Amino acid sequence: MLSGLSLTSGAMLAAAEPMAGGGVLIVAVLLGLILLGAPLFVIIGGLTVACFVAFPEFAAAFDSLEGFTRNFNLIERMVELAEQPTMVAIPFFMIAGAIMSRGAIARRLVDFANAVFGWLPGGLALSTIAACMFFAAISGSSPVTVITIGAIMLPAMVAAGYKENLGVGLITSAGTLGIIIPPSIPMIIYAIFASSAGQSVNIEDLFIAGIGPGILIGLLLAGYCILKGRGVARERFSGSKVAQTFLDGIWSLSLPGFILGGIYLGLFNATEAAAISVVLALVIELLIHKSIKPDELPKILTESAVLMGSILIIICVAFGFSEFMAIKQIPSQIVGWLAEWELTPFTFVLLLNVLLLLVGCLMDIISAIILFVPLIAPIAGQLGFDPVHVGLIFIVNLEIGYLTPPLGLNLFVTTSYFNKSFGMVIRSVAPFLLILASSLMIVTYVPTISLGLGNLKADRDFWVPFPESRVLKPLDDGPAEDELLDDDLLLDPLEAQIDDDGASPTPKQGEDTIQDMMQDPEYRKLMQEMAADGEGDEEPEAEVEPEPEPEPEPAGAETIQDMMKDPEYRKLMREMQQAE
Amino acid sequence: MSDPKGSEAPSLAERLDRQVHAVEGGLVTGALLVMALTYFLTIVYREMRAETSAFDRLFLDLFFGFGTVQEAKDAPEVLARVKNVVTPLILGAFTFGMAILAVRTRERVDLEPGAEPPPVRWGRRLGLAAVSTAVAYGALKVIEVTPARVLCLVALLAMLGPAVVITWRRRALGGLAGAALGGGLMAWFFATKVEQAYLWSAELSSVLLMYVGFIGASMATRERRHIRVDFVRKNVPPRFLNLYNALGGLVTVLFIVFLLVLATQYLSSQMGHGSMLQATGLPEYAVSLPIALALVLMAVRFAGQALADLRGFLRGEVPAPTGPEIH
Repeated sequence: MLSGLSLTSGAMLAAAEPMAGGGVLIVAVLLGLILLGAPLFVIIGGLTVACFVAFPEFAAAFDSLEGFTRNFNLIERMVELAEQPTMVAIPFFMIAGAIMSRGAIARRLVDFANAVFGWLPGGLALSTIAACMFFAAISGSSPVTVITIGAIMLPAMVAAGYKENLGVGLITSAGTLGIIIPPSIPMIIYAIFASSAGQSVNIEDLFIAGIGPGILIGLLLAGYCILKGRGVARERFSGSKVAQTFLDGIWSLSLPGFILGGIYLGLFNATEAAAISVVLALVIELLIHKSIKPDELPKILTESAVLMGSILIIICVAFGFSEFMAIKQIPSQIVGWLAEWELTPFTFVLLLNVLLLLVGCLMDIISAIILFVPLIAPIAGQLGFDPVHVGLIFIVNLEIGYLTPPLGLNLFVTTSYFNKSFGMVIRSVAPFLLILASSLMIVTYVPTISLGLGNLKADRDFWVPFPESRVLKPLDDGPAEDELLDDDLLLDPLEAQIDDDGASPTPKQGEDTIQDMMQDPEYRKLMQEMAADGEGDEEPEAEVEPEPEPEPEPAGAETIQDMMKDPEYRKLMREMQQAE
Repeated sequence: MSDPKGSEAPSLAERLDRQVHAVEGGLVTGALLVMALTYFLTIVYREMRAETSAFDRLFLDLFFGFGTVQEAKDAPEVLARVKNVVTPLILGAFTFGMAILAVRTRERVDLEPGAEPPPVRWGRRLGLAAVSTAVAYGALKVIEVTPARVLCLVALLAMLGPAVVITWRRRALGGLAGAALGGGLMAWFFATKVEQAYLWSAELSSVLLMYVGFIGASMATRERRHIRVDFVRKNVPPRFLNLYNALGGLVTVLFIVFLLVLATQYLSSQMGHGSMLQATGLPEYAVSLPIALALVLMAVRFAGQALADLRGFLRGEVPAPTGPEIH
């Protein structure tokens, strides 16, 4: 591949102009890798390399490895991942979920849910939903919820007289609550990528925002199950049984309470909550429930590491792709293109939902978030959408993707683990898909469902209106020069993501993102001048490039990202801002 | 380096790969435990040492309506009462209550479904709960007053001990080597870089995350568990599936080798700089080292798998179907 790049270098020496047939190259690489069944990280990585080759940022860049890394330094992006404190939350939540899933927690949750809801019409189905919701809050995974709760509840529902279709459809659908009810790993990944696209999202806010839609979907599913389960025999209500099962399951039930309560009350942030959940899960399952033994831990931890590894490497290469989109201002170009359609917030989210439903049919949820969030989040921001609300729209859409053929993961899980035909599972899920689609519409057009609880916490109005009907405008109205020295400028794109102390640095709608500012010609000129001043005599002076056609930078000159990471530069920026 | 599915004895390369996999398992297990432990210790240490803990602030707001600590500072007697009486009392009572329930659960955990529980011995239950509460509080105090270096070394030994026993019993020499290697490095770090407090823990966790993530990616390669878009694969005739896998593997190897060249270049430039991470005092290249190491292993493993797939195709073998990958 490297020699291939060297061979093409001659064509690129002239100027940093798009390669002839660059679009074809990108499509060919993408399709080729997909058709060859390459792992996802290779597909995204190959796509990124193709993009940088076809549309290089700097001229004379492909005549050497050093020149290539000037355009595309993927390893540096990978290393920057270590600067993201929130990433640590992902393996922690995975471990806690894995530990709790191994234990006897599912049986305890089911017993309690049965005691509370079993006496209602459709009681066993309601218990299934409640158990799925609680289990989801512990495991954070949809397929694991389907398997664990389904293994207990599906036979019980069928034995109690529920139609098998209802049971299969319910288990498969209610399992998807795993990614909406926090903690949710897709939410963490959304926060990271939305923030890298300049729409700063606080993970704690996103977690709290997931509670409302989770409860809404649970209630809608429950309503359907009450209608369908009216004729089935049910248990008598017993207060003592409720108390008994509550006490038996208190530690299992309290874990989501500790995590969400702690975050909501501001006792700790999401990453700390994740670490605490690992310790609590170990204490509960090793010492109290005694359902796992210490010698089982290495297997659980290794399993979590493998899962983490398969996700992390995708995130790493996707940062390169996000960087390409930021450098080339792809979101602004799309906004410019969409502006011609005179999209309003209403029509935008309608199109967004259609797009994400299609994506959900064809793509794994993590991949979909990684690829589409950097593209869509800035556009949604332009239209006045809160990035947390957009996050929930993403998650609910992709939750539905777990149930839509041909690639809905939960469909395959139910088919293989419960030994049902694929067609039967799809037919069973169909009515639940309609319910989920209705809840998607509600979550989309009633932002309060997602944002209300967080607003209450922050002493703001509970009710959040749908964004005003403003028409999408192109993003290229650069900021005034005196607006450039913002706090955010002191950070590099990845650092500007999540304020782990809980203080949300979410920019107001309409503010420019860091990437936008970084693309601003005035800003870049200023940075280059500063870099040249700071280099002294040892390094060749960076040329100030006339816009709009930048000249090639001399070897040795730093990229803007390099400069922004320079401690001297940061110090200087802080001093300048304080002086202002 | 795929797992042999047939009855053939594993080759030297396969046995070596298995040992490397076990070493990786030992390393990631230790790293994850250290990450969780140090993060937890940091939270406890910070809250125990804080002038006003998160719980103090919560109760100040809840019971006395002080929205900020600054407001509470204007009423020092209230602040002192919350800090010295209200918070310890509420947390103590809560822990005691939960401990009673924990003892109750432990007593009933071995009961068969529907079996009559034994008569409640309240004295024993309350006594055990009181002891548990005291132990929990004592542990928090120990974390507060013990220097981080000592506590981390003791905790590391406490984790390594059982790990050595378990791996030794199972004759899992690779795992033992991984635990010893990881444990040794961590012991060196705690002994030489850590002093009183935990300012380094977040940075250490981030560095360890790179090791966990990239070693995990390497392990995922061996287990063929990387996420794929596989709708084409599902439609490939079984006879050609091995060839298809081999081609995909070959492309993957090329891409990984490309990344490896970039990673090596980056690593050598970082080693040349000799700069250190701020909080941990570790060399900066400690962050990029696992990337290069994992890419080497991944390249070798993907190449081995591609070769095995190609051989399988030439022999006319059909690979076993795989189930859905659960995440």
